[in-house]
Amino acid sequence: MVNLAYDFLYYMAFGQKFEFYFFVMFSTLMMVIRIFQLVSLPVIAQIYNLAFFIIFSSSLNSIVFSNPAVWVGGNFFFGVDAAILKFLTISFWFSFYFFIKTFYFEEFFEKNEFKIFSLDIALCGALYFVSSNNLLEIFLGLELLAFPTYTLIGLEKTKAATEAALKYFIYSVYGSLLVILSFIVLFIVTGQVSFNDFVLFTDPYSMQLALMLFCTAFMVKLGVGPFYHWAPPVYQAVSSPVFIFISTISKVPLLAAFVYLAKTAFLLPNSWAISYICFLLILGGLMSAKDLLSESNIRRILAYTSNINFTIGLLGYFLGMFNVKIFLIYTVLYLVSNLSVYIWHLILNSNKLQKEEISNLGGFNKENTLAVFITNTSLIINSGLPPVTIFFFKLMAIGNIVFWPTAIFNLLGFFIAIFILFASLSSYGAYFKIIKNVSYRKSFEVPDLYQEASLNQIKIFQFGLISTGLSIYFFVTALYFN
Amino acid sequence: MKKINFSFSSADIFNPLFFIVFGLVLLTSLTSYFGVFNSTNFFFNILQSTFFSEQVHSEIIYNFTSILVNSPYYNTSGLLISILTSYLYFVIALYYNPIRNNIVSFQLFVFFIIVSEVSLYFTFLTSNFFIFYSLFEFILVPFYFIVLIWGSRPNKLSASFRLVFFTLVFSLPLTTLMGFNLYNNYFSFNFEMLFPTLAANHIILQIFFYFSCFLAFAVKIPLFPAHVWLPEAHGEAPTFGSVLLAGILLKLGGYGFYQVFYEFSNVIFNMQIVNLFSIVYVISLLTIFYSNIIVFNQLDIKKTIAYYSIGHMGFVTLGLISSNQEAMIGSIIIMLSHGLSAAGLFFCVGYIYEQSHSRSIIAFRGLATSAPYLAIIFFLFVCANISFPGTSNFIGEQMVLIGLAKISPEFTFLPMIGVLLNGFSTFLFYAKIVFGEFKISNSFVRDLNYNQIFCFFAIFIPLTLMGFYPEIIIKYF
Repeated sequence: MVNLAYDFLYYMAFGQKFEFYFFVMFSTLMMVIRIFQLVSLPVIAQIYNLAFFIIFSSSLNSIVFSNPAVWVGGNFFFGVDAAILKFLTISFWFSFYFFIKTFYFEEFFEKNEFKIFSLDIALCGALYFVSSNNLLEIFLGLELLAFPTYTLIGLEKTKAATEAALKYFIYSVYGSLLVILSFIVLFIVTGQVSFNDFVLFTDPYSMQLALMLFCTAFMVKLGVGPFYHWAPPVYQAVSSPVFIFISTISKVPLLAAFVYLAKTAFLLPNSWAISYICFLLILGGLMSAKDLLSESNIRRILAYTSNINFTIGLLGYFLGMFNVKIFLIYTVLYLVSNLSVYIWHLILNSNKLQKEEISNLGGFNKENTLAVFITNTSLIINSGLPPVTIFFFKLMAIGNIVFWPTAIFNLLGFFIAIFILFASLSSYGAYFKIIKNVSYRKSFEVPDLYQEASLNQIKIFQFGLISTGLSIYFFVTALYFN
Repeated sequence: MKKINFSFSSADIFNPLFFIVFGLVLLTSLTSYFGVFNSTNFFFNILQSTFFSEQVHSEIIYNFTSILVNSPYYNTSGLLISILTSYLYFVIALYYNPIRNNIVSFQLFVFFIIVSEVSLYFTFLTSNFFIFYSLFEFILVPFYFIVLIWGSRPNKLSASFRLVFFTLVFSLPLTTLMGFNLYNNYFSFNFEMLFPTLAANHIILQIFFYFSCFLAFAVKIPLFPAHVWLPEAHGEAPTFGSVLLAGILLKLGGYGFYQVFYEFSNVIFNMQIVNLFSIVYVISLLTIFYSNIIVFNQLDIKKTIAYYSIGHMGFVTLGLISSNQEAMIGSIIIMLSHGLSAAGLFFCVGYIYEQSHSRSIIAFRGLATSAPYLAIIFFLFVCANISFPGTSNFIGEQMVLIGLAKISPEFTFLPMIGVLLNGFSTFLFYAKIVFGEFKISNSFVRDLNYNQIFCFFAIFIPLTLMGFYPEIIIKYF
């Protein structure tokens, strides 16, 4: 219903066939996936059964075989959060197409149709991933999401892009390997494949091992923790729309992986696995904070700052007894604000100036006060200084850290929080460096910004951003009031 | 003497800057009169009802409304400082109105003026510690841009960076504690309930709270080791920027000290656990002496006045830590009168710099012959700066010293030497610039016009009013 409503609204508002075609296709894809899961359960189950019988025939017990409904999880993930994630995936995709249409229509859509195909496959994979509750389906969705990303990077046809694609490929394959390992451990220990059933098994040692592997894998895939090294070269090499896709939209479904943990690992607070994960997160945050100090490329700066922000969210999540809502709201708000930064970035690149280095920014002060205003507001919103909404959720995440492990003031948590805030300060520093160069530095060439990106287009952008935000807002209210 | 134009015409009254600032002054005075400064509540109520309804309340642990409630209550000092804020913005609007065509990017100027003004009102009139803290950090953003865009020397880059990051780094412990207290059921963010609820917590948490608040506010005031950002920022800011920084931004720290320490120091005194009074006393004294001694070596006129501000703020912390009412009222009077006198001094010095494009003390001799009106007005503000009897600075410092003598008479001895040092150094500074033989080789400063003289008297009259009749402030406490 949500998709149909979106299609209708979009068609009413803009009356363009092209987008309408896309969204009809997406909604039908989603419906197909739903129907596929609901109606043809037994068929799929038989295929899975066969495959698993061939692979794990020695270690399976007969009870699992006799009940095919266990294989393809009967109930979809867990209610509200899954619905939010689905909705977010769709709305992010929607806004992404919306943005690309206004700036990159000709380049992106008409010249290279394979990119559209890749994006469709990626959306399919993301939705499949988000609506699954089952080890196999999760893995399928993950690979469906990762492969088109790889092709999108590789299609840039530059040396840097091919190198970046290779890097991304190696890292994501490594992540997939770890995912499979963790699934194998989970399956051997529990004999189950549905995430809902793992709660029943509290074998501490092997469950913690699985948890470690699972988290490490998704940290690699997200580019969080000390495994962020693929992100800066990839961000730097690709074109702007692909950059936006990789840095925001493809991360939404991956966050679902950490929400899955709420079910599996809820009974294992204060375990050594969690300490290991938190150590990795803090290490990664501090490493990228150190790298940020000497960085001058805007895209690389955005890669490092996203690492730091995800680190804060994830630390709050792990140490705060898996508080899903704060984590989700924080990360989603961060991603939405990221989009606003990327809009600014798109405007920068709109007339092929390719201003990627901080030192090339400048000359806005006299020429264009609007450019200064948009830059500064979007960066300040993204950095999460106090009156911005992100700040409140960041503070809640930090409160989670200090509150851990018991409900009294904790010195270790206090110092962890201060370490993480130092990392966050270095991200403030990088943002303020950009702001300083934009609003003060003089340049030799006079940039004619906003020549191609007219004011109308900016207004459309703002409309898109506000509508996305409002839709998320109303959806969340509707969910929680029911 | 040059020809003086009366540049303040009736057409100028209706320019945007003047109009907007005057409207804001009216609005805030009305809202504070009726005590309905409650609009922040609206936003947070919506936030609470959407994200954290009753259904998920048990998971989130805490109650959002109880944290972010903003009652119509306001205290006298906050109201007084907000009146000072509106008055200074009004004077700035008057001063810059005739020369608004000379200001670079005037729209941005108006924008940042309004953003900073509104957030300062919210900061001083809220009864909620959380909102106070949020805006306390947010206020850096408009001032960052004010220093960056309208500053005049290349050194402004590092100065603006210091202005932001000193405060951010030193408020890190407070940030973490704020995050912790969101989940702490035995903690209220309302200023009225802050200490009763804090007393229910563990003593270690109380001491952590004390020190993190101390760090955050000591940078803003600033106290001795953390003062490094201030002379830079004041020196590199434009005239209106340094007026606002000295006039109001330092009072944020003072107001925070008042809200957190005036009552809390009572608790600590009664408990006799740690003698925190002595620590703050020593740091304040160090601040006073350091700032008044280092001035003898200063060559930059703006930095000199910035150091005088640091010295005065040392008296404010002395008064607020001594936990009796005389000293508290004294420090609030110091804050108000320093807001006016430092603003006047910065206007004078800024005018001198705009005329001569030099900040070095050596470049000026004999201003009294070339610009007599300026010399007279400068002298009035110098008198206010050394807390001459008849200005309200005198009343404030005397009340602080009386309050200190109530604790123990020995405590008043060293601050009194600080007062003497301040007077000596300020008169020396004034004499170096204004008196002496005027030569052609010296920088030339044109005299003030009527509009500027009017603005300077608008600043000076409240100082004398409070100096001769301090009842108008004291009776509200």
